[in-house]
Amino acid sequence: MRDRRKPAVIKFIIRRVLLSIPVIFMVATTTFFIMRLAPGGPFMSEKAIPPEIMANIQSKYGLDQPLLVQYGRYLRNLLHFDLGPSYKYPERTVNDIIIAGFPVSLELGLAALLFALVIGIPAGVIAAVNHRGLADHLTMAVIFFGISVPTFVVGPLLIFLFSLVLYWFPPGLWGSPEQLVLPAITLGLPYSVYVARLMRTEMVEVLEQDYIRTARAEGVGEFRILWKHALNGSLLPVVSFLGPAVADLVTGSIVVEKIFAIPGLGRYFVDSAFSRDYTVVLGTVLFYAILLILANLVVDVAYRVLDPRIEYS
Amino acid sequence: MSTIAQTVLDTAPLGTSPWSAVRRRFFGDPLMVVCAAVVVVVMAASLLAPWIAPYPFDAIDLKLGASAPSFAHWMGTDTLGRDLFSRCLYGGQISIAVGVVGTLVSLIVGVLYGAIAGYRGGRTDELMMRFVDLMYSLPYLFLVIILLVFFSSSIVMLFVALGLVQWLTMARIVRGQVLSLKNAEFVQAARLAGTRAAGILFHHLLPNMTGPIVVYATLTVPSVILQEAFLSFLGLGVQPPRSSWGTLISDGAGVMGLFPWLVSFPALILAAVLFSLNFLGDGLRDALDPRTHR
Repeated sequence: MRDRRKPAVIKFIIRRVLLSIPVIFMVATTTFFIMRLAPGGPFMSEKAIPPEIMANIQSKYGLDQPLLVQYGRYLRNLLHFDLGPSYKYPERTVNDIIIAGFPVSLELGLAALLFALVIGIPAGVIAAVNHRGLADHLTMAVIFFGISVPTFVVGPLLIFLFSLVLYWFPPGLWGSPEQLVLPAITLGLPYSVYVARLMRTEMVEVLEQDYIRTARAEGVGEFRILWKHALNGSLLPVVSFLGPAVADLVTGSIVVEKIFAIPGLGRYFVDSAFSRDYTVVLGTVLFYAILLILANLVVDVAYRVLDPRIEYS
Repeated sequence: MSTIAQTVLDTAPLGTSPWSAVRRRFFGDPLMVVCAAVVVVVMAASLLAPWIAPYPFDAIDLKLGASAPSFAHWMGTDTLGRDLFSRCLYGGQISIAVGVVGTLVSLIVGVLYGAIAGYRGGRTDELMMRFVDLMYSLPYLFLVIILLVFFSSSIVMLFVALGLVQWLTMARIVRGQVLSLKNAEFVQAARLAGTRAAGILFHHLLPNMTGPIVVYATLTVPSVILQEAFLSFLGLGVQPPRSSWGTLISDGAGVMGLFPWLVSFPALILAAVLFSLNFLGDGLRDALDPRTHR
């Protein structure tokens, strides 16, 4: 049985990877033309640059050629994973910037996700076990509060409380484990809330299933029922939530990186969008698109492994 | 025919239509009533801002500067001496407008898209929904940011961009509903009677799925408001001197240590409205879900 399923997984993965190539091409094309059809450019500044120098700069980066020629050249370079030079940081390429910024964002995102799961799963289970009891209402109140307060309020609030009043954690910057705590909580809080909510709904349903009743009737201990039987059955929605969550974490980290002055990729993206650094914007968007497609793929595969009832299609 | 209808009427228990369940749940839960009241009061106050705001939203008083809440300015004033209460009222106009219009855009695009995909079925459906799947896996908000940065962040652009982020889920929901309803007997009857596809969609199918659509729309409004606030924080939302709750909060967050009221009041209003809308949407979903019997 297991052996028959294995090729299906591989076929599924190959199909999805092939399907995502046109998507990445589409993202590259849309982003390229949106940026280039808009007025302004990376070398616009308050100080007027003499036209000769401007022409010189433009021709150095090939920005004086027809748009379609530039587009063709960009796609050709893309095939070699060359995302081009940055216009604002002439000494760095986009590849350099991604290599420098992404590990920071990744660490932040993983820490936030970990926080979300560690808080969210137990909270959801506690709420479900006490369904419609006091603990349930309390958790749900906290949950609703959690989705109603935006990240950029939580962040400054945490800084104010734990950095400026209590002096427990540094208020920003990056490098030491203590500097990871506040940003990770800020970023992870909304997701802990979603996870708890999903967990509760699913757990309530699972606890009403026949196999749980059977286990109870056989005298299996309540803790063991939760841990061994119910938890497995209720984790599925949480797993499927992780795919979209990665996308949200990525966008959320833009704000968190800004609040805590963290040198992650999200900040590079926003800064470069404002300064019209075409190549950096395009490079980061493409990079994130690929990342999200991969994340969704991993989640879909995990989902099918956890629940063999789902067909590969 | 009439006897069958009569039998159905006789055997149907009274007061179990979905909307009566909504009504019962709504008035049975005091928190729901409070939440609805919060939404109504804040919306009304924002709409009536030109009449009830004590000061214009852009009246600068540099001599006053940032002052703590007082009788003259009971939410205090910002660093330019502008009355925070008035700014919250006018900011509410923008935040609510963004939420409602963004939701409407997503509603129109999503319902049309989902209905067409579900009703046509087959290859069309496959293609259209594959496209939705693909869009789901994109860093959508990145594209919105690019749109807003590169083409001036006008309010209209904000409406459109935010609406376009939200339509995907709506399309999926509507498509699922259409798929499950389109072979029902009353639809077949309409088709046999010669009703055209558009007529079937709008007169027969859509009225039967208002429940899920309304629930999702209720939950979309707060998420659009939140996204506007998110964009405002990055400096891409409403431009000064106009303000939304998002811009007020992000301005206030910068001076939180010195003038805490500047972030507290708008954040409190935003949180109260988002909480209420989320809670109402959730309650509505529970009430309309046939699986929950209360």
